[in-house]
Amino acid sequence: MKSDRRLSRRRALTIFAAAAAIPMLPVTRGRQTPTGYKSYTWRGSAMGTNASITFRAARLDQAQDVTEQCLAEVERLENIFSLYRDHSELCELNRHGRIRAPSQDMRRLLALVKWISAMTAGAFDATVQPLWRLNADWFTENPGGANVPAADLVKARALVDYRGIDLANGEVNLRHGQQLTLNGIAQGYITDRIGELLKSMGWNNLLINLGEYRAIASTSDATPFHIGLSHSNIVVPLADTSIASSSSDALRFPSMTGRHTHLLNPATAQSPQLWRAVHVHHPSAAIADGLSTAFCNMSANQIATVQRKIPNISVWAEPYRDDIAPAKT
Amino acid sequence: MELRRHWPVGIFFTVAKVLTTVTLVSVMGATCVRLLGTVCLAAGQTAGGSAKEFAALDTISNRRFFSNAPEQLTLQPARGSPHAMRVLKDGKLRGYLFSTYGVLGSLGFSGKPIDIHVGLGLDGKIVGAHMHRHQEPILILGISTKALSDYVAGFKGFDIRTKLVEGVHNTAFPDAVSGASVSSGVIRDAIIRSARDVAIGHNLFAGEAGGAKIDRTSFKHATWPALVRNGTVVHRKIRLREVNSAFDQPPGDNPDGTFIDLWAALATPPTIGQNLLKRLSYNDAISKSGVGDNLILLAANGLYSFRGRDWRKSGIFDRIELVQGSGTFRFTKNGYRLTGALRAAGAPEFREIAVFTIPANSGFNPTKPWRINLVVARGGEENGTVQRIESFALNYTLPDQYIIGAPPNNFTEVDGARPRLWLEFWMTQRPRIAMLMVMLTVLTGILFFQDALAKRKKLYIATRGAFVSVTLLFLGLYAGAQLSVVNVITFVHSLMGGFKWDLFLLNPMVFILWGFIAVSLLFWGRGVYCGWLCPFGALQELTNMAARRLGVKQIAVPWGLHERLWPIKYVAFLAILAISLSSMTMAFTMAEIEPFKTVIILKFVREWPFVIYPLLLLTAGLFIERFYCRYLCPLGAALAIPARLRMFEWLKRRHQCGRECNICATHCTVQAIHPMGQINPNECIYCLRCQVNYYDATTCRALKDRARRRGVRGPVEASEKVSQREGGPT
Repeated sequence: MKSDRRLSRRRALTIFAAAAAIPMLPVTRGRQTPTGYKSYTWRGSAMGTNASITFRAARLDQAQDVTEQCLAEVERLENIFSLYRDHSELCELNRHGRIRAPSQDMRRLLALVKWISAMTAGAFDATVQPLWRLNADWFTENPGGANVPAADLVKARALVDYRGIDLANGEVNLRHGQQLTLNGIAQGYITDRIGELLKSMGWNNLLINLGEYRAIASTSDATPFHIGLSHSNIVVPLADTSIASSSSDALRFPSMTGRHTHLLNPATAQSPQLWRAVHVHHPSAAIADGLSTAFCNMSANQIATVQRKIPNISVWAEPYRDDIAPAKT
Repeated sequence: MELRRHWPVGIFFTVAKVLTTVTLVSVMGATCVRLLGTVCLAAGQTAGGSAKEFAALDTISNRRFFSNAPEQLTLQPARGSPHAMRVLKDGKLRGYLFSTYGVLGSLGFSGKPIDIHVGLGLDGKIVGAHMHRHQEPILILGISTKALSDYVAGFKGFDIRTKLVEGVHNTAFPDAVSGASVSSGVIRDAIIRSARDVAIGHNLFAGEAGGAKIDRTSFKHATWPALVRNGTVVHRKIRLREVNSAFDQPPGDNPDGTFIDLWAALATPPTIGQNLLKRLSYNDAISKSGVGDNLILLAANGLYSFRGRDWRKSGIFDRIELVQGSGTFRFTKNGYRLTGALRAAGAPEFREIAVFTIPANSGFNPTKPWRINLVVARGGEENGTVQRIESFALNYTLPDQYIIGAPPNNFTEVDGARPRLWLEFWMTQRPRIAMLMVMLTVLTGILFFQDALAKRKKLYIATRGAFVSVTLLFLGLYAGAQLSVVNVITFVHSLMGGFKWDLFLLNPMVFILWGFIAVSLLFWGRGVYCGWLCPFGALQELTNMAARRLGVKQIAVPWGLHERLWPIKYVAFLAILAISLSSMTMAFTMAEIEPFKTVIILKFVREWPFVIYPLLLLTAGLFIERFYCRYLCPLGAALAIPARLRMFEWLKRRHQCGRECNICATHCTVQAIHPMGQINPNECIYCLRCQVNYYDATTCRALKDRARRRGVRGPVEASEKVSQREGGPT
């Protein structure tokens, strides 16, 4: 572990979450890699963020082939969840407030979104999109401004309620005026799907980074991947698990105070000021991703309440105030 | 000691000594140089050397593969791997020219490079092939160069996408060069594999892969088990435990119960659709769907329905979807038809069966893999809980046999599971392998019960004659399983340059024989092979036997001379080994000191100098039994050296042997018994003749003497207490 501590720190600023985790160089222990098999890392970008897939033992042609299949799956899912693709299912939903025949992935993710919202008592809420839109538009027009006009905020805030997402009858319906953003969870969901796809093809010993990290190193002969967390000296081993991070530093609106970030607390309509970064460890990257977003809006006690309800969560949260040490809860 | 005073003998002795020393030193020196050279070569080969390779490729005759006007062609190295030359005419690509050694590092049976220049047309057919360089032992002198070049040239027009079936003779490419089947196999393998590598590496079929089509016309009857076995129909059984765990719930009362057993198949090809569905149902589905539409068959058993109920209202099946690449395909009411039980023999009963049409314009490509995602939802507002949805995937890949223009299976695998050539040889040679195993078993029996056999003189003579005849006729003339010093050289070289079992497995008979030798050498010495299994040795023995019957007087070589003629074979072996380190070709030429190829493999069908030599040897053998074995055979020498490690001394001697009596020494077929009485295991061919004498009361003087002393009338039993002295090493 000595070498782990000497990890250089790096901050990856991405549009969405602030995942600045550092994958350790893979070291295979014990069994030797069969001849012709090497460690390969694909690096590129997916969903507007730096992405990589690390194979510990693969042939180059296999690695290339499988990466291509993964990227096709990412592409397929982005066509459903991206806010930045005009014809995505999500954009259709935001335009019309309704999808009559949603894709299975949309239904599946929205069910999960509602579940996480319920578990966190609304601290995670995909319907913050109007609020986000308001902040983004206002600060773009008024750079250096103090705050968004309160009247507009109240109006936008009124639309925020995850219970308005109606999945009955195989359809998706939103309340009038509601809009969704899946930026706080889609990366995790896609990471999970890629993991599932690779597993179904019999792959093992690899690390997926699509904004959130997911390792597949489940068999007994596999060594976990080690991920160093930004803002801390903590190194987390990932076997068949995921780690997701949310950080205020990822995107800040050009406001006067600098306190307006991409993270918005649905309850207060303001950017939360509790934690600078939250890292969540869970078998599912989607759940970890959603919870890391939620926990930014929650106190340590509230987080502990969620931990009691959902098993297998580990959380590392770094407070804004420097006199409080990063706490693992 | 006495002999050394005699000056001609002394000179001979000295010369032999010097020669042996020189040879040994040169072998050791050359080995070191060679090992160093291998390392340097390996480094050099990876670094580059392709320029030289390309230069060698650009010849007029190679250009003629592509055009009768070779001067109009332009050749340029192709980017990427494997190394190949692009052949252009008027700026248009005509094909690729490459060397099998450059692409594959192809090795021949000798373990040395075999390099064939091959031209590959854009249609995947070979436009020409030419043997550039090889060191195949059997091909060097025995087979005419023309037969070989004809064989290589015969690959012209061969379509590299032709499927090769293991163990089945394929008419698509030329027959083997007779007498060189292993080398022919190696050549075939080198040409086809390197051509396929080039085709893949340079995307020869890139355009075509997209154009690969499913077979919509041909029909072949198939049963359900057959369709399941070859992957035409796939399924996934999802148990309750699995579903519950996906929802983080306890396994439940019946965790092993089937939640759903979902089956899927692409039903478009008639061989699939018509076998699975009732003919009418299939024809109806096909005729109602448009050109290029595809049919997907889903069937299931278990608690869960893949159709659900909502589709009746919404028109869309919300529990299943098909995913291919970045595309999602929904199943709709319009493309759905319910069908009755499956027609295929052996098909199980299903709770629900459905056929869905995927329109041609959807972008679905039936030749590419796809998967069915099955969605399961639990909970929901109506139940007062939060809904959760999980999905389970069933992967499907259409087997190659339904794809037209698909590269064959072994084609897409760039390396890894290449068809194992050696296995093919073992399968086709099963009868003779069985026969050889019988021979070896019998021989082992003879060796283990050698005393019992030696006591029965008549039985011994009959057994020996029969076995040796089988060795000559079956092993030699029929199966051509004559070992050679070339095998030894190949083996030594393979140890230096990276040992590969495959190379030796290519010839099963030779492989088994060497395996047997390895063991028998350690047990009894080299004689077991030389005396019992060497076809040429058997021929000498049989001809000599005939000569004796005809009253040809045998010449006994004076011991002093005999002993000093022995080193010749050792020198011959060491010389061949030494020379092989610098030139394999020259070593193989030198290995012509062995008459084996002429006599056993080619059966005297050869140029006359090659015929005269073994005739001379056989003639000499009429007067001096096994003349060749005694003095000249480098293989015997090569075996004698490691045979010094042998563990058993089973040849019995008496203390009188060599003192009072020399009868065995004079009877020994190869004069391997010293005048002092010991058997020299380096020369002994383990024919057991001396053992027959040992037990023969009418021949063995010790037995005769004892009988006389004791006044016993009858023959003395050999099992009586007789002081024995074993024939130890000299």
